[in-house]
Amino acid sequence: MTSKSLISLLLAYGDDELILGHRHSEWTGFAPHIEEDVAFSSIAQDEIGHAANYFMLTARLTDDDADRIALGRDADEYRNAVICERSNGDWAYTLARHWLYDTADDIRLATLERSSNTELAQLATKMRREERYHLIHADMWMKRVAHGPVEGRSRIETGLSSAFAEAIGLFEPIELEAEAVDEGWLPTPSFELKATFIERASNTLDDLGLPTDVRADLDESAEFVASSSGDLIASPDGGDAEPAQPTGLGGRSGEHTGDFDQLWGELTKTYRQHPGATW
Amino acid sequence: MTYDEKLARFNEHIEDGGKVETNDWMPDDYRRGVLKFVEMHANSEIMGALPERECLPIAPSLRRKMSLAAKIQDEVGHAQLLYRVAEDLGKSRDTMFHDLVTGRSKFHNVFHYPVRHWGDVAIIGWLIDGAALVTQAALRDSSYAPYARVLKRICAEEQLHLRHGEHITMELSAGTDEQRAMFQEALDRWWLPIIHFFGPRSNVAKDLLLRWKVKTRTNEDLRQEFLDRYVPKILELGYTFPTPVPYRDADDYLVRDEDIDWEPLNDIKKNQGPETERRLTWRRDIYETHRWVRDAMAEPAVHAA
Repeated sequence: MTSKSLISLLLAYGDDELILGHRHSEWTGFAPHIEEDVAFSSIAQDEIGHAANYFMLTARLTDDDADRIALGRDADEYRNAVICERSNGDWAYTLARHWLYDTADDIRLATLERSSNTELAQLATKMRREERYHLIHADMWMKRVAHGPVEGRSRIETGLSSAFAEAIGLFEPIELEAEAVDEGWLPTPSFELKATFIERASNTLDDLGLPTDVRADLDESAEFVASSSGDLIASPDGGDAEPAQPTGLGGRSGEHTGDFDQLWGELTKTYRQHPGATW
Repeated sequence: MTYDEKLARFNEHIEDGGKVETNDWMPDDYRRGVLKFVEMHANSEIMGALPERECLPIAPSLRRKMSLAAKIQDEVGHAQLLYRVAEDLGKSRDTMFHDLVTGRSKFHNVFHYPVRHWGDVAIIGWLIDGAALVTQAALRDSSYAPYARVLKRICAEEQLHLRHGEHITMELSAGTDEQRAMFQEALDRWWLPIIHFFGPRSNVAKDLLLRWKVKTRTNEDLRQEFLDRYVPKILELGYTFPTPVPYRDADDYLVRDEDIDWEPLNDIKKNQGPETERRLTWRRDIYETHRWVRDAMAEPAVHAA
């Protein structure tokens, strides 16, 4: 019998890759530098390819079709973290997100390499090899900008200030997580991965001399009780303008933002309009 | 040697089928002409990424999304190669990019038009790339050797693109009625721009690039090769043509000069095509708001750990 918690895991991580790959690919032809246009396109293609890997495995387990899973679901059936769906903004935000995401992905793939599902474990090893280059690319850029002229530096700080908070949503527990951990599909629970991520990312930012205001989150419990964003929890009791849902969370249970609605509309458009067609 | 003597020798060299390298002596008109031609080609590769890029979000399958992204990536890579050839003739890439985004230089007419659906990807990948391949294959014999060398590499990749486009066309053609209608609708919109792509008949007496063999064949000759190669295939798939409708004459498929409305092309030559302003504005905005990225790139390289 197919484990629902395994499917839940595959969809969450597969959707992250698909949705972020889609956003990355929107830079195609527009990246602020031609060499970077080519490089970033490769990364986008890899992410979409990884999504295809997750979905092909899911499709085999559920007797479904990978394209149906990728392009044929209703908007609230997608399980990607909110940070992946955010509009690209400027290159600084894109870069901050790229670096945070690939740092996070490296941490969770390292865990998946030990998954009790051998197919997933093998897949993780293969994907991690490719992701290594994404991380080198992201690290190189972070260093370059952090040590470069002041305008780039302040832009990357702005990008990080919104992206770091929402990156925590990548470690929002998946549905049926307790079972997924018990079964060994996900050998390390999300809250532990989150702590590893925050520590590693914060240390790197320290080394780069860039600020981070989310380290307090290290002490937080496994439950996502509050936003990690210093901005949003500044007035936890009275802030009537603040949303009930802390920023960056909800994606793992299918709660998305307006940015996702726009993306989903495009992503699924042709597939939905032509049921049964082959391309 | 006087300038006139050098020029005479240069002309003789070209006449004998000789090639020109970057550091060889060349008349200023030759240098300017080649630079402008290659710059436009480079601009077209980078601007040509945009119509297909607009179809990337709506790709109908994961496989198509990846292959289209890879194909566009190749086009941007071609721009990179071509800008380098142009740069060696004495204009920096930054200046060329600045001239492009401010509308001072030109790019091919077909990239001034909108895309609407997946049928456009079939047309661009098969017919527009097919038209480009006819013209680029001819330029592999160009007298300007660095350009000819780069074109050999580009043409090899374009062959793959052509198969990609042909495959998408075949899937649509063998598909549902709606899929066939998509291709037909796109063909109706693109046919005239594709004919324009080859340009009006060449003025052999006045065209310096033809005389110096930078270009090796006339516009009408290239257009005829395209028509003979593609019209029968399109007809075989059961599609129809809008004006200018090709007609058969012995072994050739011809279009009548008087059937071609040149007005849209004249607008595009002034950078006033249907999508010119929007696409250039996007690119200009990113160019202007992201100077800091180029500044960061210009800093001495930082060691990557």
